Amino acid sequence: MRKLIKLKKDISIVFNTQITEYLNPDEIYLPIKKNYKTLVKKGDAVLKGQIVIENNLNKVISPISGNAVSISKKNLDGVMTDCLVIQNDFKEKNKNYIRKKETKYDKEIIVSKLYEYYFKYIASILESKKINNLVISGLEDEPYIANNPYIINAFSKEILEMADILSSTFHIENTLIAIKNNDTRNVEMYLSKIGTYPNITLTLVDDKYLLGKEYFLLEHLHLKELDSLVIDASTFLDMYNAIKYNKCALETFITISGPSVSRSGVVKVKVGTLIKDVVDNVSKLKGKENIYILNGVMMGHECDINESVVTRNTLGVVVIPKKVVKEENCINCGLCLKVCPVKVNPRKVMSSHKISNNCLDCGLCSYICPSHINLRRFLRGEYE
Amino acid sequence: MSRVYLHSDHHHNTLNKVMILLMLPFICWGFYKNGIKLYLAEYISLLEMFKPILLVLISVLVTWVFSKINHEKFIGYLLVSNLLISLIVMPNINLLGYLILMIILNFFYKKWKFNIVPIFMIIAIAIAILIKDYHFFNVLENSVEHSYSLLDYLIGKGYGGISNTCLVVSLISLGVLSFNVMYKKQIPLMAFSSYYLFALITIFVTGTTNQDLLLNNNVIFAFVFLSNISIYTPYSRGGRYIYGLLLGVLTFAFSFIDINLGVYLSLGIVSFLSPLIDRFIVGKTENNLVEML
Repeated sequence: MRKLIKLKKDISIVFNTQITEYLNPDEIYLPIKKNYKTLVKKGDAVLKGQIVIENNLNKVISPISGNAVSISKKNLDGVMTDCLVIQNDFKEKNKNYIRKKETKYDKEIIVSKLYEYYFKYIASILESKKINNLVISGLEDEPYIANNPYIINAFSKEILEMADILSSTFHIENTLIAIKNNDTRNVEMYLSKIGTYPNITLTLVDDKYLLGKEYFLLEHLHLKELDSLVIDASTFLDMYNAIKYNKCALETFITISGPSVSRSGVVKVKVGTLIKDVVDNVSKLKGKENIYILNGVMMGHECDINESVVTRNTLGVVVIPKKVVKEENCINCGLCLKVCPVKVNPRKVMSSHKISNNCLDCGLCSYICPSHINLRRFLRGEYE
Repeated sequence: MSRVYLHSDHHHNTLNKVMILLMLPFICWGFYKNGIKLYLAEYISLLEMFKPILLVLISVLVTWVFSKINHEKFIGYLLVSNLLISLIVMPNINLLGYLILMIILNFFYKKWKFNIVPIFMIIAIAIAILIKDYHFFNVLENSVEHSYSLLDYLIGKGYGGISNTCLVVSLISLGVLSFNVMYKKQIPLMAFSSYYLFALITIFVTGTTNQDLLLNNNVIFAFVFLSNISIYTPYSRGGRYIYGLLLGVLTFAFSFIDINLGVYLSLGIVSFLSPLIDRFIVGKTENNLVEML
């Protein structure tokens, strides 16, 4: 088994105990990717749940009702993309958005719903393989990001119900809920609730970096990849809403935290919301010179919150004071090689400029480096 | 540009600072053994009593001057190397000669970044041999017949440099350093294992116990401190084992020529081989990974 390490957090951040909501943004930005067609024109009225952009395979649905006002370039997951801007009328008028509650479940219904609501990977696995181990992960790797632990806490009833449905429908032998062993709030809650679900087991894992990744979690739990499926809590909740209520995931959960945030916490937001709107409305910032790290301090990147938009891949924003980290010369300590979970040699990549395909971009080499060398940029091929 | 915004507690100078702190008891012992004790026995003058301290001060001064000239940090590998030299030089070293050699080597270090410690010692010993004034005993030890017990060796008697002759402190230092994540403990482990394996075989074959071979202060101090200057040693785990093995074997082999010179000669050789060892090991590991895939 690979030796994973626990990250040392510079500062301890106190999170709000409840998930807050910011569901009324003034504007929403929906990506118009290459080969996608916009179905609405400037000035058209748009309803919540209406398909506004599509191609042969995918559709983009408006999470709000309002008017299409313009097309603007925004940063989506680090890439500048043209976006359709919809101005909110705050009326939440729905189109074809009838929530019909499903009461009977069988394999075909579940798989077809998963395909319909864009859980294609999970649907294909459930359809093609016999799954013996289902792991619902309440773990979050990134320090200062807390989406999954909060979701697994706030929606425990839904998660246990969905786990029970999948377990009985697909005859899954082991259904596990994975929580960090130092997450006392969730451990206590699940211990009190799990008794009514004899087919579901609570499993506690060490607080180590990268256990949130499927491969490492399965290895840690001594489970085989072939007959196991790991689903994180946020995806699992979306699956629940899709299967039970025919509800497309128009909202997502992001964390706003960091030493420069007065009230760190997990926020429920509409997909397409400008990150600046979320930050301004749910928290107060401390200090003047801050930088905003999208998706975490280990694997994320600095962003301009005025240009960045919440997508389904957004984990959160960590706000930290701006500081200059001075890089020293390499001292040959070999810690980067020792700590790499996939045995990439960052030092060799740094000198040879040959990118390794095995690199996970986990940032551990840069984290551990005593000379504070930014090895991550070399591993990503950024030599300038 | 992508970067990581969280860093571990490890700092590139942590090990250097620990090493410098661990040198303090050696300096004190050296001052007592080769200073105070000799002065009280009226073997040396009052000024000569401070020689162990003066050597340290010269090292610090030379490092400070060169760090200013080169715009580098004062506490670093050069300071550790220069301090180590001040501990391991022969007790009868000439202060002016020491200063000149230090300046020359520190000057060339900026260009070539070589391991300054074994080079200094090889040159110093070569000069001492040439002028026929080569010994690792002080004047008191040279003037009397002695037969040391194990305890004598442990508390700091026997062959060795001006301030590195306390075996028990060397071994305690090894224990302390082993807890530091940046200390490459594989190197002393392999060096000690291979050296003592051959030494014990020799004793078994010849049937005579050679205490100088088994309890040589220079060898033990070099395996603990000098073999672990991070920038001159391999970064790969396998490389460290090979480095340590080579160091132990070469030290043993050279001990037949000269037991005190041997360890510095072998350190010089393996320091230059270090990048090649890494290249060899990393290449091998990658080939194995490719084969496995």
